[in-house]
Amino acid sequence: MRACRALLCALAAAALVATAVGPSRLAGAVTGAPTATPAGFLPAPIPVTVTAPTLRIRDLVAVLVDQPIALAGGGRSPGGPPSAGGTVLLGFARIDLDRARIAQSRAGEFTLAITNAAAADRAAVIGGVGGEVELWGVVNTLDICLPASTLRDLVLRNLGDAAARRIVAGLLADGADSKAPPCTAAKPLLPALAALIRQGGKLPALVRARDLDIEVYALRANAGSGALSLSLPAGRLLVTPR
Amino acid sequence: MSAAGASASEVQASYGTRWRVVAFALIPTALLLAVVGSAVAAGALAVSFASASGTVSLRTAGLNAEDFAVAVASVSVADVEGGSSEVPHARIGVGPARINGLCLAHQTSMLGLAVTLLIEGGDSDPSTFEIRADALTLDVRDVRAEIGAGGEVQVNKNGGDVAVAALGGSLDPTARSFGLQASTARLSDINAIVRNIAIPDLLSVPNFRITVAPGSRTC
Repeated sequence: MRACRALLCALAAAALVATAVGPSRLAGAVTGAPTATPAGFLPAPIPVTVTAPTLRIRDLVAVLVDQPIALAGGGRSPGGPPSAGGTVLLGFARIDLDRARIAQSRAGEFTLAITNAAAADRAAVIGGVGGEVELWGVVNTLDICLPASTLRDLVLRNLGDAAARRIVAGLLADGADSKAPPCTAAKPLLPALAALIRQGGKLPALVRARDLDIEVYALRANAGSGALSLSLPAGRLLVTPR
Repeated sequence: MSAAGASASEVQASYGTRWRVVAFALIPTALLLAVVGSAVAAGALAVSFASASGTVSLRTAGLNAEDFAVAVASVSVADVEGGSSEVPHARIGVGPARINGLCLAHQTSMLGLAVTLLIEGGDSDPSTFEIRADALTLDVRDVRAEIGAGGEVQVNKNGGDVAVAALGGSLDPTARSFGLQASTARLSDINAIVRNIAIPDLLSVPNFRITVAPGSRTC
């Protein structure tokens, strides 16, 4: 009897360890637990600049602010809130980027640019339905396009964080529903979105956005089940000396 | 003129060496051998094809690979004054891979004449990936293709950590620069400007052929 109890305890402990280790690295980020290489690899010290005039994000499940990560050479990506240029971790299933450009420049050395000069059904795609994409970056610009009524509903139903609520309420107060711009600067909204998702709130499955300009320190994507994790139907890779 | 009516010396000449015919056949052959020979000397054609100067264009209908990596690397390039300089290129490395048709066009000059060395292989069936290209490496300046990468894809991985097991590890990149690593890759309709290409089994490519064409030709 005592042996059975000990076995049950051991199994329970093993299950706890397995469930603690098993889930995505996002768990560690949420709890603030330090992870040496949260992306699963050590990023280059210089970020890649990702731009797209219009884009679509599917299943945005995580927005975490102040998520600096270690870089090759011993440095770290910037910390702090997004408004101060801090690193944000975005987790989503898939992103479609129209006329995408992914580039890294090293002064006096080179510019490497990966482009996809197409849009809509020939847009660059990272991730996939049911896939997992994690992106650590510093947002320069990003406008997300959500109906004001959706934002308000989300705030009323899910947002418990007073500070975040004030930010969203302020954005909503900028205009009546009919006058509200379809797209809103996401940078000041990111802490609110982070709080919203942390509280269990959900955004629409498809979030349209525009004017993306983000310094990406690390991006990992896995669409799973044999699907492409990165697709550039009109791809070009160009290296030019600087 | 009939043979019966020909002089003795003319009859004798008709059985001698026909130098014009020999020259006609010999010059292109010698030219071909010289170009191939210099290619072999430059980078051992069976293993790799390197262009210290000039332009090599590559065209293939597709590449399917496991283990796909991209990093930035400095490549030595000859300049017009006879020296050389280090020029950044994208270095692409793959593990087990198959290519669907291959054409390389190296525009160069021989004895002051523009010629193009064309290296071609593969069949005309667009559905077959008939060329083994395991452990292929390419130094490229410009690639256009329909690009797909599968499995785990890592973007902005430190270039020094990008590795392909079939190549023995690192791509020997520029320190602390961009890297991309993917479990698999599927590229279609590839057009590239290449500095170096290394296919370990180049001479076993089906329908492998080398031709030298006058002028500047493309694939």
